[in-house]
Amino acid sequence: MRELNVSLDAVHPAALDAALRAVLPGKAVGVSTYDPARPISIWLDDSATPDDEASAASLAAAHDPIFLSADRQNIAADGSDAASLTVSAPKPDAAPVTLLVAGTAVPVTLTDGVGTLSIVSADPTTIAVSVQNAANRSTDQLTIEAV
Amino acid sequence: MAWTTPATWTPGQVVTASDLNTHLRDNLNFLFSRPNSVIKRDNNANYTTTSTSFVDVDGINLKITLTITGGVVLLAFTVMATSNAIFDILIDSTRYASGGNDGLLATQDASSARGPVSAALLITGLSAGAHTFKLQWKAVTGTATLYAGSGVGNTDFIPTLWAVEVG
Repeated sequence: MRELNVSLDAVHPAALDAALRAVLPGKAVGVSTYDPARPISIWLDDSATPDDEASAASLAAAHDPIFLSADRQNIAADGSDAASLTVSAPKPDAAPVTLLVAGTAVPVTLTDGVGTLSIVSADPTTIAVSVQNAANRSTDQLTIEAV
Repeated sequence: MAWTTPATWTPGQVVTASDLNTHLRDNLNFLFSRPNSVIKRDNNANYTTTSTSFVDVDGINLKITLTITGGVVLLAFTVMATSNAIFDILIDSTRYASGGNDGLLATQDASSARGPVSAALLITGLSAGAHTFKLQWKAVTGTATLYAGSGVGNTDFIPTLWAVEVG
């Protein structure tokens, strides 16, 4: 096992892990985090080459995490009851964030890396929320039930 | 205070103060305070891993080095972790449960989001000298989290790791 230490402002471990495994199949073993002030560990198989380590370091540098959370998972299907989604993109130069809300692209305005979105529904349904173009950014998926 | 192999006394042997101090006093003192170490790690953040092979939870702060005279160490750890975590102890460069790909044990209750993991191990067959013991883990799938004093309510748990020479 080889360890690559990288300092990052913020990490979405699952998203970075997925990005590493996509680019370095069979060589990326995982990611460990310790505390915000300490470099993360990227774990690579012993077969990883210096080029593989460079690829992993590049992916880590490009990592632009997005975190999704909701204040509730159920809303009344009355067109007014709302769930509030919080979107956090903590990287200082984070790219714009667009969510997929029930399959529809919804841009989110970020202020200091944080944005919010209200979800309402007039009909009973299940509303899936994820990040558009989520590679190396997020694996978060939320589900809001309108009942 | 180091351990001295007790002398074999012979009939008529004159026992000196030095003999008693070395073989009786010093050895009793040694037995009363054998090499030991206790870690209660307040990391002010949780540990996470997505690694599907065993890696150190924290190779700096959840690591014990004991210099022992005998060959037996009692070690234990207690953590709270998400239900997709598996644990083992690395002794120098060999996992304690290296006979199994999945190590010692997993988080106890896979039906809940998190659970306690606790184990006590009697480690035998060690040589005299310095040995290093590290808590290791891996994720079954996804991101495993070990709670370590993040300050977040209901998950502000402190992991512990301790070891003592016992023989």
